[in-house]
Amino acid sequence: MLKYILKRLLQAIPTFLIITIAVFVLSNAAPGSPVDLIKAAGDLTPEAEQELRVQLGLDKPVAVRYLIWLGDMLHGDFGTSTRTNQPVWSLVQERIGPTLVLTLTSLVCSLLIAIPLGIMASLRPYSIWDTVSSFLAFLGASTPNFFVALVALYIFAVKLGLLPSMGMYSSNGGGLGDLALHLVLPVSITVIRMMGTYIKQTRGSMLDVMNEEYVKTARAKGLGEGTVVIKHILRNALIPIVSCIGLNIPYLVGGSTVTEQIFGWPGMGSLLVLSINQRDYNVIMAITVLIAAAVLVVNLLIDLLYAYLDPKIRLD
Amino acid sequence: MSKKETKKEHFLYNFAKHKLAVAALVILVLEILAVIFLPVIMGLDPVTSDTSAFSAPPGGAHPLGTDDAGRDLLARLLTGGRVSMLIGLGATLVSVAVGLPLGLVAGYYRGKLETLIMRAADIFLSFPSLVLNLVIVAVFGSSVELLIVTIGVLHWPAVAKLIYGNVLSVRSREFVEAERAIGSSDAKILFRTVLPNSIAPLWVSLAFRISNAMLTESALSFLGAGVQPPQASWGNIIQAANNLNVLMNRWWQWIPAGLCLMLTIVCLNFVGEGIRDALDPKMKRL
Repeated sequence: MLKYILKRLLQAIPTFLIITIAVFVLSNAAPGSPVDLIKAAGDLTPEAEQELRVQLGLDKPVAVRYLIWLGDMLHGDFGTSTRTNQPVWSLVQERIGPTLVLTLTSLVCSLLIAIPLGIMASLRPYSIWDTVSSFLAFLGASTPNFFVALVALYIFAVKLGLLPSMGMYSSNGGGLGDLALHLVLPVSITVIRMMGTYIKQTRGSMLDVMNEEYVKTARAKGLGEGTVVIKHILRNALIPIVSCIGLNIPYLVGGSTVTEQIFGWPGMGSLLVLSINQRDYNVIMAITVLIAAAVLVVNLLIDLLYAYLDPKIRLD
Repeated sequence: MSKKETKKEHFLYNFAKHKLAVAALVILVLEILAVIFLPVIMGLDPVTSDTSAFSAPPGGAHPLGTDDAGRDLLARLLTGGRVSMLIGLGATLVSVAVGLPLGLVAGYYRGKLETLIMRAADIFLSFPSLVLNLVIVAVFGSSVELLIVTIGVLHWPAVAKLIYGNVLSVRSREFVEAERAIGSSDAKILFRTVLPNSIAPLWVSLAFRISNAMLTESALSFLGAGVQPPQASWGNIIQAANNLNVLMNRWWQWIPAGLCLMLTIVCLNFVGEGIRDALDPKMKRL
């Protein structure tokens, strides 16, 4: 078990480093370095230019600059935002919570809807449940999510006035109930998008396990249908479902960028879009690296869950 | 009649049985013809502003109204569709051009090359491609060509994994062993035997891949990081609805493009399902 965790950790670290290198190289490839900007603004003597480069640390080789950047970042120093002149960390920090609230609520809601639907569909193939779930799955895969979000915003927030259209809390403050109201639209949109994959995966895994010998054995020895379904079929079908959840985490995070933008959700996604439109590279780099780290951590947690569910991994 | 022809006829026969897929294919063909030829036939201009009609509702000289810069929205809808479809198709071709050889090589040669390629694929898959796409656009700016390349390249791992999985199961089959035994070259085995026997799932997935690439493009353009005005794409037309006033009062500036995009995606997915069912009836449903 310990060996398994260590192995996973050792795989995650290079992945993280490669992503940071990619982000660093990309941002450095961007036209318009600070020196160029100052140079364009007024005339700069070669000596002054050299001095400026030393001051900004741009005289060092790229590899050294990368290591300095990485080191600073690991100490929590992400530099200064060129848009607001504030430290990047203070900008990003307040965005982490809202994004976590949105993505986790969306994930939990999608699973709470998709797994029971998938189970029902697999127990009664070609029944109404099966039809409903395959229709929902198709709908999720076939609708441009941001367009559905806009239509929902138009109908429920603008026309009917049932739900708030923007942000996380009302301007006059508000408690948990207010937050829940603000969550309804963005979460529903994400659930519509993610649900299909989970329904399909649950149905498929359940059907795979159902024909196994040990399920027949369980039935043959007279276990009740409920026990067979939950303890013998679902328990084993959960393994591929959990790995499907892990594989879809990047997709969930990427999509929430769009959702946050539409619903004015004060999370990392909307900050990223704002920073990209303003070419605020330090913020872009910080968010990208944080997203990479978050996805890797979630995947590690999922690997642990996987080991818990599958004794073959745990005992190996 | 050769065996190949019967197979093709069998496929066409099965596809034709899937009524929804056939209807979807007809709609797609009509759409493609419309976006290619209608702007030319009707002499539509998607970029010039009509200074007498800013944000004009549908009617008169502008059947679908104008946007806030006074540009004709019917013209933009059609040329935007052209751009969106071109990017969907182009990006899919790029992802196949990158993913297919990598998957083939990883599955056939195994060893270090396999580890390297498949690890790289995992790294790509462990990061939200939409976010990476946004960053690339921030750095290099955006043009249709760049979008085709970046969306395509970021989608290579899915293609590579699909091919890789199939090559793995095909490479140890008897007919490949037999070819090796009679001393055929690697290239011959790869392209004449392994490839044709592992490519079917790629055909099945092609329509879904195009719809996926189109969704990515539209999301990027919607966020302002895709196709840039004055050039139109369905995504950047819908971007107008980011403005609450447009969302509330000017449906013609965003609903038609959204409906066209949705119709295209639904049709592509139906065609994809039709192809899948026709190639492999066992895989039918979900």
